[in-house]
Formats: sequence, C-alpha cells, structure tokens
Amino acid sequence: MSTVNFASREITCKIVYYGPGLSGKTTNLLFIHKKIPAKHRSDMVSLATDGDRTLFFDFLPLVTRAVKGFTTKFQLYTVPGQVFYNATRKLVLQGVDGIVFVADSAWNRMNDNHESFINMKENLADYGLTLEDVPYVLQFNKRDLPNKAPVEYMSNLLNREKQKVPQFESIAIKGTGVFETLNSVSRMVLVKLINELSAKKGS
Amino acid sequence: MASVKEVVERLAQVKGVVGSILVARDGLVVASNLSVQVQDEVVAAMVSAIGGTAVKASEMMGQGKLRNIVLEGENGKVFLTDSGIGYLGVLTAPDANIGLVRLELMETSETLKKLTAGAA
Amino acid sequence: MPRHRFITAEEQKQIDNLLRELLKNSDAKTALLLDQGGFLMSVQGFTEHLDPQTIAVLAAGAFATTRELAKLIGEEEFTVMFHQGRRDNIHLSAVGKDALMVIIFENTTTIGMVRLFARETGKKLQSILTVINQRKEEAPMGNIPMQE
Repeated sequence: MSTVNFASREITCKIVYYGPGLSGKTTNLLFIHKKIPAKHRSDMVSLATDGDRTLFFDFLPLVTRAVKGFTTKFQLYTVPGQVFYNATRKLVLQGVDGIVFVADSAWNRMNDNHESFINMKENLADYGLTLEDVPYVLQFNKRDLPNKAPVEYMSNLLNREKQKVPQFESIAIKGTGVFETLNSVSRMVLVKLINELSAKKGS
Repeated sequence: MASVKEVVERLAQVKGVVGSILVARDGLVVASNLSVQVQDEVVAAMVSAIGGTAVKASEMMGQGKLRNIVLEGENGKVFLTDSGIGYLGVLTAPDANIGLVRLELMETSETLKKLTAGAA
Repeated sequence: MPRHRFITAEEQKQIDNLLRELLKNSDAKTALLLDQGGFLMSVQGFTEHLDPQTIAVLAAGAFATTRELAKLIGEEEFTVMFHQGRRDNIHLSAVGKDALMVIIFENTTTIGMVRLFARETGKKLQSILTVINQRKEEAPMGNIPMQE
C-alpha cells in the first residue's frame, strides 16, 4: 500500500524482491545500496543466518524525486527464498506495491523458479491480490553461468500471464541489469499510482 | 496539571506516610515512592493480590463495591483503595494519623481517576 | 485494505501531538507510530543516535513474528510486547488492526506507566487512523503530476 503524506509531501511505496533461495535477491539490494549516493540512503537492514541466507528479510530505503513536489521513497524488501519460510515470505508481501521476481538462470533451478512463482501467486491471493493488481517485472539472474537456460525458455516458463511483463537479464553480483530492473519496476509502480489517482479524480 | 507520577509521589510526603504506590490490576507498578527497605515489585504483587481478593470478597459478602482496605501490622499500617486503573496504596508509620492518611488517600485516588480517565 | 493511503497535514499534526503528549505523560524517551508493514508515520522525542526507520521495520517484523507465534498457540494476536534492557526498554503495542506504536523508555519511568498511557494514546490514534484508512482513493489535494 503506497502512502501519500501531505504534511511531509512524501510518497512511500514498497517493492519486494521475490524468488527462490539463492537466486540473488539480497545481491540485488547490496549492489543498489553500494551505488546509491550516501545522502540518499540509509543503512541496509539484513536479517541473515550464518550461511548468508536471508532469515527474515532485507530492507533498503531509497529516496528519489520522481514525482513533482513530492519526495518519493521506495522501500525495498527481499523475502527469504527457502521453501520452509513461507510464513515470513507472506508477511513481507503485506502491502506490496511492486514486485521484482528474481529467477536463477541455472538449468537445474528451473523447477525452483517455477515453484516460487506459483508460491508468490498463492501468497498474493491470501491478501486478495492477483498479478494483475501488482506491477511486477522478471529478472533472469546469473546470466554468466555456463549452464544457463535460454532466455526464451525462462520467458516461456515465467512470463506466461495474460499481460506480458518486462524481463531483464542480469548478473547481480557485478551489477549488470540491477538498476534497469529497479528503474522499470519503480516506474511501473508510480505510473499505476498516478493513473489510479487521476482516474478517481475524473470519475 | 500534575503528572500521575507526581501525584503518587506527593502522597508519600503526607505526615506519617512512609511510602506510596500505584499498581495496575495485574500487579505492574505504575508509579511508586517507597523506602529502600521494601522492593517495589514485592509491594506491587502483594497489593494486587490483596486488592483483587478484597474487591471480590466485599461484593460476595454483600458489602458492595470496595471502598478501601486497612492492613495493620506491628510496624505500621497499609491503606489500599481502588483507583480506577488499579490500586493505590500507602504504607504508614505505626503512629500515623489514620484519619488524615485516609483522607489524603481518597483525594489522591480521585485525582488519579481524573488523570487516567482516558486509559481506563 | 485500500491500495493507497493519504495522510493530510492536519492528521499528521494530530498524530505527532498525541505522541508528544504520551511522552510527557509517561516520561518515556521516544515514541513511534508505524503501520504493520513497518512504514513510519511519526516519530517524536529523542532520536539522537537512533535510526527510527530501521527501528520501525524491525519492530514490525518482531510484531509479525509474534502474531504467527500467537496463531500457533491458538491466540488471535498478542497486543502488547515488552523488551527489557539494562537501561532502555521497548514497549510495542498494536493500535487497531493495522498500526503499531513503539515506545522507548529508560528506567526513570515504569512499564506500568508506559502501558497505561500507551493504551490511552492508542485509542485516540486509532480513531484518526480509521479516518485515514477509510478515506476514498482520491487525492485530497489536487493531482500529483509525475516528473519527467
């Protein structure tokens, strides 16, 4: 749920990085965090286990000036990918405005990608949402792997809703494709927000 | 307007009173001004136990709503009253003026009821 | 749940004032109001050396965790949580269905006092939040143009 505050003139939106375990969701956030000018970022909060796996979520707040007269804040969250953390995953999705689905390009992870995508739809359904309600993009990560699946294959596997969505190839660890993905989803979120606001005004 | 803390603490300054305490019904200390010999938590637990039993006892024995409780010990007395959000208690010296203490206790209790009206 | 939430300047002022009043009454140090997703709606009191946004997100996380715990033992929700430190303590309480209040206080006041006024403030905040949450999905002050 986006929040528009007319006192501080701020718009806040929540973007969640979803996807199977070890697909590179936290890596995306770490790269963004590293590249954002210090005055525009706060600390990144990471609740991780010893083995570098996200335990609860990662959280990174960003500040932009995408909307005239308003400070636009994006709160980026990741979910824990492991199957058994579904309760947490669902909690993080609460009030989501936009989603980046980070898929692992390794051939042997296609099943996990697919399962995670289905799981995302189920969890959204629990909040009464479908993928038509929430702007989302796909990111095919780890394109530098030798045993990667072709983009066409992954697209066929994951980008098969009625409305096709933008998809990005990335190597998150090097930063390739990370900002393209973020820019795309944040723009979609804002366009949707503004459309909804002006549509209501007109009617 | 004085704060809850100030009102409770002021009660301990009445002549003959050695300590005052406001305890929520479940035994949590809200504010207190006790001497070091008795621990807040101990007094609070006792106050809520006595208070709870007395409220019930008064009703079941046909005496109606509880007004206050007096406990007399060798070393002094304890006065308790129901103060809306919890129990207000004072500990006194053995020779304290009971009438005065009781009056102050009731007045303080009324003040507290007003101060905490929104929280009850 | 509405898709968007609008907070007017007047509502923001009322929320801020209620938290300030709470701090004065309870002698606590810092108070935050956030939604259950960790979005910070107000922070009042001492904030030096504190990162309110991170506190908000973690508090929401902690609360969400206990809600799941509650479900596991057949409770609907725990409405109050308390973390006791050596000097600083944190009191977390639910404000209605979708907001949380975080109160940080030192040992100069008591948990009983904080809880007392948290309850009172919570009720008042809840009525403001109800108005905000029931607001129709239209901007109360003109259009919001996108910057090119």
